[in-house]
Amino acid sequence: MIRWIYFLILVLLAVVVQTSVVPVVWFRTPLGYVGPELLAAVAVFVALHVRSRVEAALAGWTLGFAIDLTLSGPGMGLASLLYMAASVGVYQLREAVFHERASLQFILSLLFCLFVYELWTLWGLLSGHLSRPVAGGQAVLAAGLAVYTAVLTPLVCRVLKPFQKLLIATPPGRGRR
Amino acid sequence: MRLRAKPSKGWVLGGLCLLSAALMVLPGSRWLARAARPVLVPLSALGMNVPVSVWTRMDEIAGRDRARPDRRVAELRRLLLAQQEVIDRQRRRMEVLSGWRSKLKGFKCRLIEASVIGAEAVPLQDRRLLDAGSSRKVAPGDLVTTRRLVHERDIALPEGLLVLGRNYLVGRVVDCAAFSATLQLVTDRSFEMPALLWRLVGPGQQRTIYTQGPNGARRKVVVRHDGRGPAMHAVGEPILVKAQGNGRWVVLRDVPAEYGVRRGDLLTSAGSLQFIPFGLRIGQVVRTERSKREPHFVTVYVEPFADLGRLSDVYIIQPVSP
Repeated sequence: MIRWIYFLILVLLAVVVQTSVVPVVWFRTPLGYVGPELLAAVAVFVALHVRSRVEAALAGWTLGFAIDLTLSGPGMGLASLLYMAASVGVYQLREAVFHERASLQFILSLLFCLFVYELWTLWGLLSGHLSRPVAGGQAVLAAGLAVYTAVLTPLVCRVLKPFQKLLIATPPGRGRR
Repeated sequence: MRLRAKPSKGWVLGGLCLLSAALMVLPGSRWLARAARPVLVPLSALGMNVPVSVWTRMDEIAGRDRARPDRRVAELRRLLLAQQEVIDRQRRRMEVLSGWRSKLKGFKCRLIEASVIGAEAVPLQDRRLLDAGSSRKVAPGDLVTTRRLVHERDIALPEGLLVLGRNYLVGRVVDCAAFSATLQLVTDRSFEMPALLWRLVGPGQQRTIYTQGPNGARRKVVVRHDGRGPAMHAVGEPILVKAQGNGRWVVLRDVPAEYGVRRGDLLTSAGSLQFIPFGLRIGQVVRTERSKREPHFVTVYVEPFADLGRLSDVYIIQPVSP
């Protein structure tokens, strides 16, 4: 069960670090900036460790909503829905695999970000907020973002691991997976 | 029938999904994001101290100023300052002669100092969060100018605000909350504004331009640098273009190839617009590309003068009605 107070503090911290410190590690490409997305890495960590699908979805929604709150322009609410769906996807996939491996965290994070940001770009295109060339460039950048985030996700998971019990309560009498 | 005192997580989730869907379709749902800003802004401002300290320390170690260490840019800057002095002198003389001075005194502008306190969480848009908002009368969609221009020139700014980093145009305010505003950088993909492209010629250089003769016919003119100083000159009439961000550069599409735009030419805001004063420097041409569809047109790529990746202090100019 998620301990919501601690989880919300983590979300706030992640948003602050993402908007202020993380831009230092963005790098420029001919298409624009590519940078990691810390909240996606947190969502993957939580989805890998929560006990139910609904909790994974709730945590994903919360993280996505935090992203929504920091963005400007149209599309408010979209990130929360996409994060929620992606978190459920990660939760489902984890059942098939051992979740402490860095390579798995990498792959799940990559899929998570590709799902969220490619669909986000597609939504921008379909809703007319992005022109076709702009959406094309953004789709490539989103792929870069996914790879960058995936590379950093094992590190984020490692940092969060000592706080796992603080964030996610283990019901008494149940062992770890 | 037993009523549940507490809704299940599934119901909560369903409600949140409905909320998200409603936010997506309802117009003006951004107010929620604006309402959350007062919490985020002070924390982001604290967090922003980390990269700013890192950059400052790196600059100290490297022994350089924060300004771009580009010799040509420095040279261009000297030229523009020299040109500006000449223009100022002429303008002052004209004002004295025509009595405009007394009229211009009635115009007032307020300089709002602001800091960049963060970027958007997702780097797919080139936008920054500023720590000045509607509580300081900042408004979205308004204009950008420099502190220098406002201090040295007695020019009125009609309605609208501008945001500047150092002396360069860096973008405009697109969204405004009570204590913060979103700055859209000139390189953002949705950024679009009219601009002027100035063709320059340096010492010992010449370039061919086409001008309109008295009878309306076009004629070819070769212009040389006057050799009076090391600074570059603008030659011919500036070209009115539409500047658009592409994520990396400012791009000017469909510029007629006959203008012969080349590397080093200067992009400024369009002086013809009522609300943008003349001479706001945006950037410098870094390359041109012939259009594949239309060989008579070129696409021009401009690199902004301001180091947008490390933007920390900006100035929002607020016009005050006389």
